[in-house]
Amino acid sequence: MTNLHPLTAFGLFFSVIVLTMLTMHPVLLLTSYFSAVLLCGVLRGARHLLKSLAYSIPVMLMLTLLNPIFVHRGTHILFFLNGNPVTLEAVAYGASSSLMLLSLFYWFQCFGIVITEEKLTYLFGRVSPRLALVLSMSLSLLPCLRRKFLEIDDAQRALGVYGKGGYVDRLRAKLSSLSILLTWALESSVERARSMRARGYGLPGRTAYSLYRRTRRDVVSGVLLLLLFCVTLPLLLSGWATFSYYPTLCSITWSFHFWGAYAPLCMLCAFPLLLEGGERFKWRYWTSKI
Amino acid sequence: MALLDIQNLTFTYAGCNSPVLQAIDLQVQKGEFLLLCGASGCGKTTLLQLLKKQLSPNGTQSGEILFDGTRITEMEERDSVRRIGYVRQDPDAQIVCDRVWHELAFALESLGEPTDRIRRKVAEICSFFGIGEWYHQTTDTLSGGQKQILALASVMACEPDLLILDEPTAMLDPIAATHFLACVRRIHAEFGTTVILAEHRLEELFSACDRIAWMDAGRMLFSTTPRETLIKLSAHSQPERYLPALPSAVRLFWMLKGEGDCPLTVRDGAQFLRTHFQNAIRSLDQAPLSTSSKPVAISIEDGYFRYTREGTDVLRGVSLSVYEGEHLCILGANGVGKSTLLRVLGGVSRLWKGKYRLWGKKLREFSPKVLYESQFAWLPQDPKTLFVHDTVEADLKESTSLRSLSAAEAEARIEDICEQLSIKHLRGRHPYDLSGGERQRAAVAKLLLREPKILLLDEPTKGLDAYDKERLASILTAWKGEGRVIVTVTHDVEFAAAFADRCALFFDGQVISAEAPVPFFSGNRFYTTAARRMTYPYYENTVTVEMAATLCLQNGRIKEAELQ
Repeated sequence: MTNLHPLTAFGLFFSVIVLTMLTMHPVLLLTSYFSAVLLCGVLRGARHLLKSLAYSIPVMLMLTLLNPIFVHRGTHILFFLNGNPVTLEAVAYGASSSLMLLSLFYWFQCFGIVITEEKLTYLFGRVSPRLALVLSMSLSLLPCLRRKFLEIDDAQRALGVYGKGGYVDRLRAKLSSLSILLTWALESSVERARSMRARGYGLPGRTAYSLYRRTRRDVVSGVLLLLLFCVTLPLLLSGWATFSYYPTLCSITWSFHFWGAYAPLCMLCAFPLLLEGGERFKWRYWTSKI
Repeated sequence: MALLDIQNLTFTYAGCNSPVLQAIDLQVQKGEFLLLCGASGCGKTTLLQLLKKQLSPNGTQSGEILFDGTRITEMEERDSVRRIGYVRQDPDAQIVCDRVWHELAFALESLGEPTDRIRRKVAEICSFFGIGEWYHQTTDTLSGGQKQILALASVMACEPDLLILDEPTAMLDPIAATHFLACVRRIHAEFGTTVILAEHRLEELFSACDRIAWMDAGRMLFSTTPRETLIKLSAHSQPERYLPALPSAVRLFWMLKGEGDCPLTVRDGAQFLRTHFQNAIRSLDQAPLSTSSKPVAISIEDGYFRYTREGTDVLRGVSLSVYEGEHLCILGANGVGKSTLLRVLGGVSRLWKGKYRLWGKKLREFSPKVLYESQFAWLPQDPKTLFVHDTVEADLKESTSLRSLSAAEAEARIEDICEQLSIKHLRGRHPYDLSGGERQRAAVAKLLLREPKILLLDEPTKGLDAYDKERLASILTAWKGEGRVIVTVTHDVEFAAAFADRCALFFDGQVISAEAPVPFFSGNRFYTTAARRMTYPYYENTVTVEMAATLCLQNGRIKEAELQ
């Protein structure tokens, strides 16, 4: 998963996240949720997953109960709270929407692990090489500024300028440290610009180098993902696997329409798991042979 | 035809009246290694920047600079980028990207190379420079030495014909500097790249380069082979201005007024001693160091320190005493925690375990106000961080304002200190516009005006030329005395040997030994001065060139007759 080409990986996360947001069908959401949780467990380890479940499950329950407190639609009344009816439908709707939220949470967590800062810069670079450079430069500048400020702050503290006088004096001293940081930043940015020009920045026909090579696996899986996404999206939008909560919960029909939308989504969700699982299996297999 | 041909070059900065470069003539042949020397501020950097079109400063220029037969200013942009590589002094200022791999590819990207070619070039360069291990790292996690190697590597990725390096080791510690210079020599030896290198550190390079060009106050004194250089320098009216910059062997030879071929390296120097001087007297008489009678200024007993709760201890059971009136130098390799020890000594960071006493009292008994206003003054590695105002004058005034002085008194003090440190002419300048040596002196002035009892210096000799170094040392020696203490953290063994009262070796979170410089450096065989390496085992206890010269004169020459 982590050595997938950033573009393919991005496509995968993009499609599952978009599709998850478009459906309210409990089966689809459950599938999405469990595959996201599983993938997160695989990527970050069981220990970390258990830790995050320990707080995400209570949050999910809370969100589930939040909906019926505010929404009183539905026909099956469970009980009355402060004279307001709490309905089964509202609880079910709350459960589904919290499921969606949490699966998005886990998908984004996986996204953060797989698409590192470096890959993100690369993806931006696909849009515009200049943007990628600006991003790369600012990413290198920030820690530099931070370090410099700490240095200046230390030096000034040891000079005793923070110790004297009242609040206003101290604030003024801090501000002058900040202003000298600005001077330093300006000076170093001039230097940096010269260094860039000396190495040919601004010449026409600049290329963007990246670490990533597109392999056959990336292309094949990319095409497959695109296909699945293109099939599922219109089906979901045209209401192939819908589920209505109000006024009464409709029953889950295992119809052709349901399977037509569910099968490709299921494949999409399972895709990263299969990929990761396959790689682990190969690794186990080879180490067992050695 | 010479690769680089400078004819009668004169250059004046825009807005200045007097030229910085005057009538410079210099030819550099293909494949040559040229060392450019001269005191700081003599115009080396200006000359080097004029060689690269993109870096040329604004100003008026007369005379010609031809690169491979074409005027520098008329060179095609792409050609100039590819064929002339330039590495600068400050490693932070020339690194542009956040990742090492991106930095390496930067110039090639600009030149519009296709990805596959860049990939191959970058791979090659990484293997040559040994970058593989930190290829994926972000550039801000690198050490200064690594950054400078990266800057060199990213310039070399374009395969330049001419490599220009402007004091590339000024900000590095000696070990990183030696490594860097070895890389440059390897590039020169293996690819025949023409190299022009401006440097203060001549000990290793003097014998290694093909030719030395010596500049003074904007003029080219001469450019010739290392041996010829010595002859020309000795004929100069003020040889003492250049003497401190030369390698130890050369200085020894000159002090002894030797005849014949001058030794250039430590090995040749040792040979010279053995063949020309007797060794009946093996060592100089040493006055024993008495610290027992002096009061202790700072003492640490069994101190432990770490920066974060989860981190490892940087100081692990340090015990150290600093006595009144002494100059203590703490030596050690890079990144072992010397600067941390200095911070702890100065009360900027506090021990989590162990005893700390300042003048016999706990740190708690001093208010922060007293601590920083009348006890400690701390010179950080980068003296720029001390200045917060637009002029040196304003910064110096800030220091006097901490003391309750009348305006006239304050002015007198500033006048006095500027006189002592010869920075009078710099008072109106912006602190950032000063040269390294000037800034260092201005920073010391700012610190001394606060009348501290304890002066803490973190790598004060970094980036200074030999002349500035001696000036700094004489200022410090004049200042220390009754009730005053100097603690210096440094890599510079030659500086410590010549000017410290005591030296301490810091290693593995502890102070291993603390002794007077002579026993300290004579006890060491590897981590010691060039003079000691040159004289051992012929003489004992000679750690500076001056000591070696004195001992030689005491022993007397070997008679010609005895030699045969």
